[in-house]
Amino acid sequence: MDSFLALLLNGLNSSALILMAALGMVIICGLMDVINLAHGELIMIGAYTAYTVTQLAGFGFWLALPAAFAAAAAAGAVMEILVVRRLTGRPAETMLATFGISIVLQQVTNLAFGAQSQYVAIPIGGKLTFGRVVVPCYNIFTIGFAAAVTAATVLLLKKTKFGRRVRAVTQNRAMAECLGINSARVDTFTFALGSGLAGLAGALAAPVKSVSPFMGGPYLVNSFMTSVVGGVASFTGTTVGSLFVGESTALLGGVSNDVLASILVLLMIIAVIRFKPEGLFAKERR
Amino acid sequence: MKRKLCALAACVAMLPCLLTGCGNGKAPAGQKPIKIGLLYSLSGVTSVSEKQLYNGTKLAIDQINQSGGIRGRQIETVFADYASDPAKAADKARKLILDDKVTAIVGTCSSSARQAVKPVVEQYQSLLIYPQSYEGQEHSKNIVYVGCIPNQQAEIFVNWLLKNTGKKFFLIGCDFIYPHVENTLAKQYLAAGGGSVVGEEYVPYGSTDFSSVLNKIKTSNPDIIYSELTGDSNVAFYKQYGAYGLKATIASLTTNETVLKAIGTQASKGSYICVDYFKNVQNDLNKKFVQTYAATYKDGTEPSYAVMGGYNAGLFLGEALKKANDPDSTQQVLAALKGLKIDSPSGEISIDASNNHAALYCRIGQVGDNGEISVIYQSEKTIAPKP
Repeated sequence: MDSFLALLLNGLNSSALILMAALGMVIICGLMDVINLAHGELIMIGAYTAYTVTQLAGFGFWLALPAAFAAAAAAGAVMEILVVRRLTGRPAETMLATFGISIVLQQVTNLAFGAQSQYVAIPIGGKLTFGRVVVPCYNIFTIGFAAAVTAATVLLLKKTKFGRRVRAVTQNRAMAECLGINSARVDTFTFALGSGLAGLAGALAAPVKSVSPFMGGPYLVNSFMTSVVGGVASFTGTTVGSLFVGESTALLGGVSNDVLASILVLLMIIAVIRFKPEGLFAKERR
Repeated sequence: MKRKLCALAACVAMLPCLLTGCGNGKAPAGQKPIKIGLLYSLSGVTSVSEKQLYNGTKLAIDQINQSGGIRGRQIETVFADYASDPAKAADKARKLILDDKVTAIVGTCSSSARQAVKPVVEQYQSLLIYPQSYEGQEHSKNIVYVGCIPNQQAEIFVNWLLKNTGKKFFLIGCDFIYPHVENTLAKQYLAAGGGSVVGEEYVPYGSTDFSSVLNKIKTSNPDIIYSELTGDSNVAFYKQYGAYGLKATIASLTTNETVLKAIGTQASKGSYICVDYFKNVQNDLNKKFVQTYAATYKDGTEPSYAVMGGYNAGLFLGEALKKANDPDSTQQVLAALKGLKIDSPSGEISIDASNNHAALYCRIGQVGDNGEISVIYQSEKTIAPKP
């Protein structure tokens, strides 16, 4: 029982990191219909920003979080203006272009910082012990932070003027433009928001994972799996999707091993796509 | 207009002079340089280790060239980046042998890359000097292996851990050939030495999520976590292990000084590492080597067993080139390597003529409170390789 509870809590921590990573992708994919294969590298930019701010510049980790958001958002905005915008409506070309960008970003980072991993200290040390269950304090912070960021993103898109504009452009671009919304600008902001959230995920993961030029791959895969399971239409779907991926990997890994677990999780996801091609939380199409 | 044309023509006419001038500076007239291929990935996932191997080999060859080269002839390195792709490694090796006509190749890092290059060097009767530690169980007459193998590392390490720390081992590695072979051997050593295995886990290559593994470690309550995790997985494991504050000690065959910088002292202190070389090995040659390395490379890498593997490969090659009558003849260089002894910062080491592997020292280090590895055990003499 203790062991099960520990697995559940560990899974919750993994889910929180996956949720953070997937949030940006769901925004970009769900609202803009762009599949961004450089998403993992935006997460990497966030992680390297955390490294630069804490280790090279000597500031605290709390400054690294907004800095990572800003750096990745800026990178995303540049990407959108220079490349993605010019390929609107051509998904295959967009995927190829963003894949190319991902390789460029990896190698530029490799040249600038070297291939070796970089160090980011854990900002909150210590652990809590409940009976035989141990939870590092940083895990609790991760879970809380991910929940707060998700809530803030939902509020931003549902309750603010910016959010209304984004949704208007998503639903009917031509009509929104007729009503005086600068849809190009909205696209840039949406892409930057998604990218910034990816950067935030990178900074959050940096203290407990590795920070290296090639770190993006697994995050991209997890984000994809989450988007596939939960669909890209709602944040409830994203949250459930990340819980599904995180918890099932942790629990299956607990009873078998991590290699088998990753195979089983992928099989389960294939089953989901078979019966719910648009994810568990797809909106009804009219 | 005419004047401009004249100036341009003059420039073009001068160009060959400039170029030959350059060439003359490198090699005296009539003295062709000796060509050596460097086959390393400076891009792709294994570039973390290979940058260090590359730095080591390059430094060794540059030093040989600065001190007069091979009987007045310089060594010219032809670099090929195979981007962490074994298939590409074989292609590049073929190109180095056939097009660039190199005397020997130094390089490759993972076993899969070495195994891809093996048939190529065998087909063309060429020579590969392999600088990385690996799982053994291979022998090719066209490959010289200068990194350590299990009987020089794991066997001694497991027995030392049994004697000095605890009996219950938890084995962990990434899911590819090297950790599987090492752990199979570790189980044999443990059975012979009276230890026990309380768990054995593999994670997908590059995985950085250890939540379920850490839980298993906690429930099985081992004394030692015996690890062959590499790359990003290795860094993430130490950090997450540190956050959970488990009582077992990590004992690694793959961690080095460069990786430790990414892990941080807090998560790594007290852990053990067993390799053939540490930055803190005490001898005059090494003192000088560490200083030279710090002055030459400011890329965040530290002198480590990977750097030393690459450096030793360069040293062995340099000595063999000096010993061979004709340093352009691969066969003579290969013959000269057999039984060759060199003085390296890692001690006086040699190539075993019977199996082409290096006889090396075995050293065990512990990470101290300052994050530095102190050498707490060193074999009295070099250990003969038994691949």
